[in-house]
Amino acid sequence: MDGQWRMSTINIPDCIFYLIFSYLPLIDLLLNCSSVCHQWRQIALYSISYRQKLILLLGDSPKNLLINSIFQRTFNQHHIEHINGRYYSVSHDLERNSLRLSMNRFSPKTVQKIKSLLPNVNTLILAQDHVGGKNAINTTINILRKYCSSLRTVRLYAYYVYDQEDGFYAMEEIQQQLLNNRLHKLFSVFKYLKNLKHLTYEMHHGQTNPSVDDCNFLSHIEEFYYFSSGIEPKVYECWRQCAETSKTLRYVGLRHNSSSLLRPFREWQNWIWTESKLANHFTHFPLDYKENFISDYRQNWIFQHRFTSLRSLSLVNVEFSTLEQVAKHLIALKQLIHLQLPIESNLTIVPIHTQLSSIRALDLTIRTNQHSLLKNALTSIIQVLPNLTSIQVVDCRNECIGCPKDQIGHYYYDDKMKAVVCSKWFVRNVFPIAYHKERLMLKYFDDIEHKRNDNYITFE
Amino acid sequence: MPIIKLLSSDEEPFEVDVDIARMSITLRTMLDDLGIEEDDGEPIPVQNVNSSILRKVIQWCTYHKNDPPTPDDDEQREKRTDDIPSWDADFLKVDQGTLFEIILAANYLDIKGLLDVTCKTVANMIRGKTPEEIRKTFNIKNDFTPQEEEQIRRENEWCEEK
Repeated sequence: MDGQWRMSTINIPDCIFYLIFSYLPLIDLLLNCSSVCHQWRQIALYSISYRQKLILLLGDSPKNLLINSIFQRTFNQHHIEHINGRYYSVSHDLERNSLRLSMNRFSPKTVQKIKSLLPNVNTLILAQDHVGGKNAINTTINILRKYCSSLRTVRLYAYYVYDQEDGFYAMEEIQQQLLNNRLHKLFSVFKYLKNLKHLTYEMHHGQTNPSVDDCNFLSHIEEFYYFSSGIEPKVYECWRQCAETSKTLRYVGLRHNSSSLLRPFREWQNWIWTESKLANHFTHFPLDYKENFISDYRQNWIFQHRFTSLRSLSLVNVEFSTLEQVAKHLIALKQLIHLQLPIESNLTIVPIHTQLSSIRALDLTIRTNQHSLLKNALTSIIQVLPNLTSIQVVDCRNECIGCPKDQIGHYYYDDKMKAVVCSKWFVRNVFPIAYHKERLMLKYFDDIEHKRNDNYITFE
Repeated sequence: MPIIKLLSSDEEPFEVDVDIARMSITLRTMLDDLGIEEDDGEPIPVQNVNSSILRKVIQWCTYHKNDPPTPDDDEQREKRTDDIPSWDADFLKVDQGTLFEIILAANYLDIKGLLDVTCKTVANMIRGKTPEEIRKTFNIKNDFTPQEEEQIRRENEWCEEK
């Protein structure tokens, strides 16, 4: 060592170390920097306590491969470290201040460590797959109840697990019941989190829902976002009851993926439209246009006066002939940035109104095998909406919407696994249209047979 | 182009464009407070930075003089270390002593862009290394007692459990 430059020869202020450490993943701080010397330990531990996001990922490790990849995409994470076969999220961007724990069960030592981290955590992102062990969920609940009173934000994601051969498991009744029970347990915990202000619940490929009793937590939170592929009527009813009495609920976001399941809820929707004090607080809403057919005058009144805070709208069952009328009403939604729109057949002219300039993301449901029509539709949309940065194309057939059948399967993965899979068709046909956009993401989503293929093309 | 003189801590004078000097918030404040717009004969002392480091700092600022302003820190902003421009990476291929002296100078002179890129460089030197490797890299003395080391090992055991 002698003769070599020593760090101790110059006085490096702590603020410099904090800055350097801010560029390091949590696991480096936890395991390595905190074990170098007293000075580094003190600064590393302080830096850890400053980080406020924690992801707990439960379930069997192999299954977490899928959840891992979903999280990777969800949070744009692109750097995963493997330590003894376990996965620690070490992200470079939005969620980089997070620690993801993936394990079958929490040992006492792990619980001890989580305890020491939790007092400074105000956001918990919890992913639960339906085979998550009984012990794991019970331990989670205990941890939440005992140590998470500071939590202000909880995001709960529940996913089907993936089987490499069969794709997503078809959930059997008994498994469904098992998952229901476990999720109900989780929901029951939320009422103990008195500081909880924001709850996101996202359920994919399943119809697990909270029971009426589980929804008491709505009485003290401010923001509630619910994304699901299926909601039972009784859940709507329970939200209605809770929302009516809540003194704190300010923002409600709902997103629903299944048009057929919306039909029974017309009455509930009508209540939202016309009576509920919540309408002006909604940021996301699914609207079954056909089922809730209403007069032009009433539509206008609803969009002008009820849904003024709407940032995301999912339209289903819209006849092509009425699209233009819908677009006209949407102009009133000045904060709308996300629109989910079905385009069933005729793509020649997509009547997206030029005044919908606020829209940044557009989800299209497309059923066509005529890629020239698709190209024309995308061209007109991209040209009309100046702020568009994302288009998601949902195809309900198991094939590329652009490529002729004999060319299906031209995919590529980029090195960050962030922009995944594109068909050559998009590159060849849409890129020339979109090149002038600062950043346009086309997402090709093929959902047949519940295969989850999120395919992105990103134009930078 | 107006020129001003800077005087390093070892009293070597440097002639610098005012616009380049103003990339340092410290110097900008000084120039504004003193109403200095160009060289008036008196060099501005940069007391904490010696001539070899000040030369490097001026070289960096000259290369980056047309860069857009560095955004303020934002908790949500992406914090990555794999985006160091190749010119900066080459520029910072210096011995550790010089690298940390540049960091201190960037901190003193309040040049955010230079401070960020130098700290990222050091973070890259730390990332993925064991405590012993970190000590070896920076020639840091392990001042833990054996008992303390054992305690830390036990605390970190949860990350390594099978």
